[in-house]
Amino acid sequence: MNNKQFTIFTIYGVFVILAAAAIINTLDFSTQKNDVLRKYQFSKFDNKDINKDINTVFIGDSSCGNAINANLFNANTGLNSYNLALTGSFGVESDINMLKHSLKHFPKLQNVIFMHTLNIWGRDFSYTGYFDTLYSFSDLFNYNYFTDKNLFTEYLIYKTNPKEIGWLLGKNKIKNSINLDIDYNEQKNKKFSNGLIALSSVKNYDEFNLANHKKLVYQELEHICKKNNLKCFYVNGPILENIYEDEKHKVDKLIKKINSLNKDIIFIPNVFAYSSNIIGDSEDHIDPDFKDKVTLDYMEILKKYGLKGNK
Amino acid sequence: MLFNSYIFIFAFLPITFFIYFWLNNKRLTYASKAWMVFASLFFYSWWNIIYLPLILGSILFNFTIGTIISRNNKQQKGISKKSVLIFGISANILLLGYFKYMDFFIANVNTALGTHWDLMHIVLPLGISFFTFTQIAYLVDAYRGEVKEMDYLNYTLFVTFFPHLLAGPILHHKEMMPQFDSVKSKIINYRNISAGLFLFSIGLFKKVIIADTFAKWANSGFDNSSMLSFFEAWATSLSYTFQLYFDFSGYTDMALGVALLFNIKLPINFNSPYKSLNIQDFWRRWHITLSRFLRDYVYIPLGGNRNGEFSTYANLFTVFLIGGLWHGASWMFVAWGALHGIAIVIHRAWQQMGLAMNKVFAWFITFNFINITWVFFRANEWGDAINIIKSMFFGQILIDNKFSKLLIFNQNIINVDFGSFSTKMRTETFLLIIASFFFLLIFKNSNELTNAFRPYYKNLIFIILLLVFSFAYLNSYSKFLYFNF
Repeated sequence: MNNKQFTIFTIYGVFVILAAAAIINTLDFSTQKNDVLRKYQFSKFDNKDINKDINTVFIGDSSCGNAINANLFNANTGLNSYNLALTGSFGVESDINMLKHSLKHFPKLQNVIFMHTLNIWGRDFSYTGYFDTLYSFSDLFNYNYFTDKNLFTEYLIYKTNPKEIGWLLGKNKIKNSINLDIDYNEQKNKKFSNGLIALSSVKNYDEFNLANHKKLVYQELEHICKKNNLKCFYVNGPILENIYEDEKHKVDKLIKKINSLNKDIIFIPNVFAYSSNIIGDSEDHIDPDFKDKVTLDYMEILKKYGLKGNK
Repeated sequence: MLFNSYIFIFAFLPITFFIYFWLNNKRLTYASKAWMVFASLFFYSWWNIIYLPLILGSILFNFTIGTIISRNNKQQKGISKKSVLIFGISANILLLGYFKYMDFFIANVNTALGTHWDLMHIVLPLGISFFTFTQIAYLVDAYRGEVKEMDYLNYTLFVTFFPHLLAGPILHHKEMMPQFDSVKSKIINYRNISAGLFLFSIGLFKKVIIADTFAKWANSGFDNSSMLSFFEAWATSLSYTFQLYFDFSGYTDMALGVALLFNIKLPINFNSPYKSLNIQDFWRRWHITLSRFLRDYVYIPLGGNRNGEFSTYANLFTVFLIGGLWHGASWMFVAWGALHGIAIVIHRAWQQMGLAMNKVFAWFITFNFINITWVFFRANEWGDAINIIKSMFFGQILIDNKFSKLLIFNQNIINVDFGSFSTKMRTETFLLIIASFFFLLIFKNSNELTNAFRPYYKNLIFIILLLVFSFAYLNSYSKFLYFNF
């Protein structure tokens, strides 16, 4: 091989691998647990017969997915709702996409409830989560102000990430993790409620920060809600009581900060702290056996703040 | 713009490359240089265009001074060229001083005199330490009659050529501009391109995969300096020692590799520094172009070793103090420079006495000295550095529960405790540290590999793998450490 061939083969070799990664990404194989959940939640957009009557959606992370039983909520409010919760890996930023998808598929949409775990506000912008749920290509350019990185460049990196090849090769290990009975991911056997997770193993919550990009995302959510005449609520996800007690000062400060952003989303400042006997496999996951109880707690508060169209 | 970013690798670099050689192919050599200057300024401004006038002003000023000095060399009349040189160097140092040391100066005056002057919070313009030193070297070389540049475009290209602009190597005019003027450099050279890609891939891998991995552990350790156990403290200091090397030498490999694509050979900056057997050897292998600058433009003008032993020691110590302060406006850098200055003085005295040392022992002492002094270099405050060093020698022998299986001794015999690490140290931390020792001490370095480079299939597979692994982690890109200096 001469130097010219070496140069050409190197460039072609890299491009072939990046192109393969882009194709795998575009074909959207379920190579991660999050892919399975995302596809499950997105499949709800395809139920055309049901969709025409949907007037309420829950958008959020796993704290929401594990806390809200949409069927029970419907039965008690007379509303038609879906729980579209993803996980914390998708960030608050994917809420924008989920809201836009909801507006497209649910013509009667009136209420939107955003629910996230308390410490999500200090996390980094989730580019992967945002791109996985992307509503429209033009959003890559519209929302460039969210972070100091260029969204389009980040999208190219996401599309051509060679890790896709590795994930695909390890695909056999990914099994369907959805439990249809609880309308969300199956929880692990080790839970707070059965004593298999000790309080001492709870990670230290350094900060309940409010990152700048999260403020911008929140403002954009408000803008979309207002523009589409939606009644939008933000409610905190549940949290293990002990953490709240230990971090009360920080949590209250964070809530104050989010509340100060508030204009067109009804911000519900309540903290839903529960004892370990009803907490599941993570400090912000309700044990599925208590999902109904917690759903009713949230429903009462939401009613108080004026859900549209409930009986 | 970062070398380790998609925008650089897939947009800026190919566009710059093709237009540059297309213009040369059309025999538009002046336009090709103008294009390279434009591309380099674009590269510089990508981060923050606000400092573009600063670099352009600095270039114009130094070109003017250099031209006056060069003319003065011929005419021998008017203002003495020494006065012009002193004026030029002073202006450069003032500029650097204003942007880099003003807040440090104010803070120290406030502390010393009890004043309450407000800090100016000046943002350090990218690459200012490098382009200022490059231009000071040019002025001195012009004064010595070693260079003469009468073309503003050529001079601007020399200063701004993007591979070296932000973090070196610190160049001499005479080692770069003849290459740009050479006819050979205007033609695409596949030998240089393949070798350049090879070197770039190694640099990218060093930065993205190795340095950024060590960075997580080093940052975690330095952020929790008061809580470190014995092993965590060593893992912290070694993580930073390796992070800094892989980060800066990775950057330099990328810079040299990119320059090679344009048929420009930049001087090497690293030559396996952690193989050094004494501190002088280390400074001949670490940031070589800075050491060269300090030797040629500080140590020798101070008198070098020409005025007796005591003066030599004083000069050596002063050079290292300046070297420390060059890295940043902090007493920690001064302390680091002073420690190295003391070490180099001791080393010289040792040499003068004609004493010898076992090579393994010499390496052990040298490496550990460097490792410990990097703690001062990295720590934000004196107390943090002392905490880490204390833990490195007197820390609790705590073994993370996860590592308990690895313990082959009875824990009572060596008095260890089991518990949880307060940092992000993992089994991988210790394995990567061991692997890094192995690679750095046993294998050839990237420059040696590039010199021996041949377009074999094994090299092809090697660099494709390096690039693909690096691209897989580019989404969490980070700045190079030396951008801060």
